[in-house]
Amino acid sequence: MSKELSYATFTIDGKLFGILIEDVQEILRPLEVTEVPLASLAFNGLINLRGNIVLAVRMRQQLSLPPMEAKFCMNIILKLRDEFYSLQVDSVADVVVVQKDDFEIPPETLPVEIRRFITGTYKVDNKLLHILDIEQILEDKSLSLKEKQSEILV
Amino acid sequence: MSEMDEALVEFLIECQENLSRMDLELLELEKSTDPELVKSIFRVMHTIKGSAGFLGLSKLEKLTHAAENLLSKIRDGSLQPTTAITSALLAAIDGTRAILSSLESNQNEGNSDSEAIIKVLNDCTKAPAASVGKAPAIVEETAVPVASSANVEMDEALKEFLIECQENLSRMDLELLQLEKSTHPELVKSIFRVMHTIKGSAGFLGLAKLEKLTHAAENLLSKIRDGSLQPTALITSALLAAIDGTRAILSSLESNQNEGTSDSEAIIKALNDCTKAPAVSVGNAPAAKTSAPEIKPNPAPVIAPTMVFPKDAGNSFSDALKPATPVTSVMEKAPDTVSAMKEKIEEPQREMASALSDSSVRIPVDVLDKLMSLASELVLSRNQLLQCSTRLNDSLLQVASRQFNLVTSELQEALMKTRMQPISNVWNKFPRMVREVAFKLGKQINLQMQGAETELDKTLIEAIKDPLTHLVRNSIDHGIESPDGRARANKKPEGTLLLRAYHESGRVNVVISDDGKGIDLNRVKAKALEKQLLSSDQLSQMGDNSVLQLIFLPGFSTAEKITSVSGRGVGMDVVKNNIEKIGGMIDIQSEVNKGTTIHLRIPLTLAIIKALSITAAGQSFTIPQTHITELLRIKDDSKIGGIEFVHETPVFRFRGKLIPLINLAELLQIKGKSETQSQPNHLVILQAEDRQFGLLVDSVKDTNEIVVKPLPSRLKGVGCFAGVTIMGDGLVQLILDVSGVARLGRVLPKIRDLGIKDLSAQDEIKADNQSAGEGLLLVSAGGESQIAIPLEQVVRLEEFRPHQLEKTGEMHLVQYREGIMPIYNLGNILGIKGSVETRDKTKKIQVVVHKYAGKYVGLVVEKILDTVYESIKINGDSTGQGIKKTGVVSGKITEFVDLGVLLALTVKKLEVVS
Repeated sequence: MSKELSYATFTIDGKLFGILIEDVQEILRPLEVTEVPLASLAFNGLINLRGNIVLAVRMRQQLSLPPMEAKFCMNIILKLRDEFYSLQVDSVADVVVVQKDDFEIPPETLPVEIRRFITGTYKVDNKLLHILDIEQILEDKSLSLKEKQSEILV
Repeated sequence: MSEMDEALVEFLIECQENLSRMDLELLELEKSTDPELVKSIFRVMHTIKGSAGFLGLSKLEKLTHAAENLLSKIRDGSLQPTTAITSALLAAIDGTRAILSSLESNQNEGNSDSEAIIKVLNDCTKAPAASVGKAPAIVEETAVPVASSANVEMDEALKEFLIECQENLSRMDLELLQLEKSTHPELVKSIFRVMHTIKGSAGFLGLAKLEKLTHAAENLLSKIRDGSLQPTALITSALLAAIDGTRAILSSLESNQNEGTSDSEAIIKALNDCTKAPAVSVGNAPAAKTSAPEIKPNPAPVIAPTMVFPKDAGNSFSDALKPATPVTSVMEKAPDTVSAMKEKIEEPQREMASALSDSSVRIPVDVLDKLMSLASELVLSRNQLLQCSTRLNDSLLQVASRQFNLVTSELQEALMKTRMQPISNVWNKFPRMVREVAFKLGKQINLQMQGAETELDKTLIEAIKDPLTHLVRNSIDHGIESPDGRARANKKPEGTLLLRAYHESGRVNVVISDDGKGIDLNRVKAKALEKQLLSSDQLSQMGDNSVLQLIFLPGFSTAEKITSVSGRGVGMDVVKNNIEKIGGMIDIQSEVNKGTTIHLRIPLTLAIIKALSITAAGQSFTIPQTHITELLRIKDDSKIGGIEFVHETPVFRFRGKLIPLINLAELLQIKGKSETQSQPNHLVILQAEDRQFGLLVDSVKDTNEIVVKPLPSRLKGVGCFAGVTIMGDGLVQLILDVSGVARLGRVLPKIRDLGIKDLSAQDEIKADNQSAGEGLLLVSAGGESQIAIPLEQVVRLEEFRPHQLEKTGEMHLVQYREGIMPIYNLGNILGIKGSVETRDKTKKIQVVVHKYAGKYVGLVVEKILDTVYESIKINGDSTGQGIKKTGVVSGKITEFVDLGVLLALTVKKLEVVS
C-alpha cells in the first residue's frame, strides 16, 4: 500500500512546484516588505508576521528565473530552525495528493539552476510537479553573500 | 536509562543551588564560627549525603559522608575551622560538583577520583584530637539557643527550608496516594528520601517537634521500603496525617517562628502503631490490606481533599477484616486518632495555602521570552489602536484605548522584571575565586561587595560574567601586590578589592577597584614600543589617559610574567569587546601605587532600547540612542555647509575637530531609489567605540522605545544591522549597528587603533594578535580589487622615500636593516593595469616586507587598506598566477595572494631576464 503525501503547490514562471503541506505554516497575500540594503538579491526583505520577523525569499531570483514585480507575489510562510521564511511565488495552486511510490528523480532537461533545489518530481494531470528542497533553498551558501555589493564592485 | 530520572534531575538542580551557597558559607566560616553557619553547612552536606544514599550514588555518598563527619566535628566545637579544613571542604564541594556534572551528562558518577579528597577530609577530622582541649570557647558559643536569633528575622536557612518543604510535601501527597496502588520501590524511595530530608533539616534547625514527627513517619516508611510492611490505606492515612502535621508545624513556623502548639503526639502514635503492628502480620501481608474500612466513612476530606479511595476497596476490606485481629485493634484505634488529628489540623491547614512557597515559582526562561514577545506584540496593537482612536475621534473609544495603553505599559514593565536578576548571581562565585587565586599567589585580599542586589537582565548577567571574572582576576594578579610589596609601599598587608554595583541614569554601573600598585604608564609606553605598536613620537604626543587606553589593544599585557592566573590570552581587548557588544562602556582609571578602578556601564536590558528613527533615500532606519551624541541640521546651501573634502572623503568640522562623514544612503547603496532626490541635510553624530563620526541622513524622525528582535541569521553577513524592530505601523525596521556602519564606511578599521592614524600602515603587525579567523592584510595595488595577504607572511610594513630606492639593472633595491632588500611592485607582478608608478618623487612608497628564502623582499603597494581577522568566504577561482583565490572580505571582492608562490614565480622570471 503506497503512502499518500499532500503537497501545497504553486507556480513560478509557469512551472509547478510543491512543498509538503506539513511544512507550510500559512499562505498569505502580498505583504508589505522592508528591504534590507546590501543583502543578497534573493532576499526581498523582511515582513512582520504578527510579531515574528519573516525573511522573504524571491523564488524567481533563487531559481535564476527572470524577476517579476514583487508586489504581486504570494507568500508561502515556512519555519526552519526557529526562523520564519516566506517563499515568494507567482501564484498558489491546489493542494495535491500523490502516491509516494510515484516519486521520480528530476528530469535531466530541467536547468541545473532549478534542478539543484529539487528533490524529485511527480506527474500530476499531465503536468510535472517539482518538489522543492526547502533546506537546500534556505541554507544555500550563496544567499549569505552580498550579491548586490559584489555586482556593483565587479 | 534512556531518560534521566525525575528524582535525579531534581536532586541535581537542588544540589547545584545548595553547593554555590555552601561555597560562600564555607568562606564565611573562615572568618567566624557562627554556630548557625556551621549548622547550615552541615545541613546541606547532610541533605546531599542522604539524597545520594537513596539514589544509590555510593561514591557521592562516601564523599559527602566524609565531609559531613568533618563538619560534625566543627559543629560539636571539637574542631576549629582552619584554612586547611576549609580547603578540604571546598575540595569536597568540587568533588561533589564533578560527580554531579558526570551524572548530568552520562548518568553515572564518573571516574573522578574522590578518594584523595576523602582522605584529606578524614585526616582533618582525625588530626585535632589533640586540640580538643583548646576549643571550649566554641562549645559555649554553639550552645546558644537557636531561637534567640530566629525571633528577630526569619532565618534565611529556615525560609529556604520552608519553601523546599512546601514543594516536597505537595509532591509527597500525590506520591503517597499512588503508593496505595503500587508499591513501586522507586516511589517508596522517593517518599522516604523526602521525609528523611525534612527530618534531617528539622534536626539541624533545632525543630525538635518536627523532627520527632518526621522521624516516626520515616520509621514507618523504612519498613515499607524494606518490604517488611505493605502500604495499606491505614498506613497511607497515617502518613498523610503526618504530612498534614508537618504542614501545620511549618505554617506555624512561618507565621510565628515557632513550632506551634499543634499536637503531633497523636499522629506519632498512629505512625508508631502502624510501624509496630505488622510485626505480627508480616506473614499474611494481604491481611494488612484490610486496614481501614472504618476510615472510609470519615476519610477526612479536610485532611487531604485530594485523597481518593478506590471504590471497591471498602468491600474487600470488610471481607478480609476478620482474620487479622491484631491489626484490627490497631485499626480500631486509628480512626479515632485520625479524626482527632483532623480537628487539630483543620485550622492551620486553612492558612496553609500560605505565602512563601506561593511567592516563588520556577519558570523556564523561554516561557518568559515568549511572554515578552507577546507583550511587545500587544504594544504594537496598542499603538495601532491609539492611532485609530485619534482618527475616529470617539470619546468612548479614546477612554478605553487610554486605559488599554496604561495596562499594556504596566504589563510590559512587569514582564521585564521577571527577567531581572541580582548581580550577586555572578558575584557569588568571586569570594571563593578570590580566596583561591590570592592563596595561590600568596596575597592577602579583602573582597568587599556593595550593591549585590542590583538587578539586571538575565542575558546581561550571562554576558558580563566572563569579563567581570577576568577583571577581578586581573586585579588580584596584576593589581594588588604581595604582602611584602605592600609593606614596602607603606600599605597594610591586606589588599582591598571592591566590587560595587548601582543603578544610575538607566544603566547599571559596575565598579571594580583595588588599592594595588596601579598601572605604570611608563611600562605601558615601553611595552607599546617593544611590541612596535606605536612609535616614540606618537607616544610622546599622547595624553596619560590615551596611554592607559592602550591596555585594551589586542595582545597587550604589561605583566612581566605569565602566571597561571592571568595572561592566558584573554586580554583586556576581549573584555572591552564583550562589554561593548552588549552596548556597554568600559573606562579605566589608575594611579601608580594608589590602585586601579575599572568602571563598566551596562544597559539594564537588551530587549528594549531607546532609539532614533531616521530616513535615508526614503527608507527608515533606527539608531540606538546610546550611540548618538548629537543631531545637527546642515544648512540648505548649494554647497552643504560645513562639509569639507579631504581626498574626496567628506569630513565635517565639529567643535574644532574634523570628523569623518558617512552618507548612509550611499553606504547602503539605496541612493536614487526614491524619486524625490532629497539631499541629506541632517547629520547624526555617532560614537562608535572610540571614534566619532557623522552620519548623513535625509531626515530625523522621532525617538521610540523599541523592542529589539534578532536579525534573521541569513542577514548577519551584511554586517551593518544589529537587529530589527517592528514599528507602530506594523512595519519591520532595521536597526543600524553603529560600529558595523563605521567599519563598512572605513571610519573604523577592523583592528582597534584608539585614534592613532594608520596603525597598520606604519607598524609591525603581530601575527599572533589573531582573534577569529585568519589574519589578513588588505592592500590595494592599483586597479579595482583589493588584495589580501596572510598576516603571517608579512614581516613589517615600511615607508620609503623615492630617493631611497636605488636601481641596478631591472632591479630596485633599498638599504634595509643593514642589508639590501630587493623591491618589487606588487601591481606589476600581478599584472594589474594602472599600477602605481614608483617614480612619483613626492609620494612616500608603501612597502610590505616579506621574508623570502631567508631574505627580506619588499613589495610596493599603492595603499595599505586595513587588517582584518576574518573567516574567509571564498567562492571564486584563481584569477591569475600567485593569486590563490578570490573571495569577499569586508564586503569587497578580494584576491588572496600567497607571497611565497608569487615570489617564487617572479624571482625566477627575473633571474632568467637578468
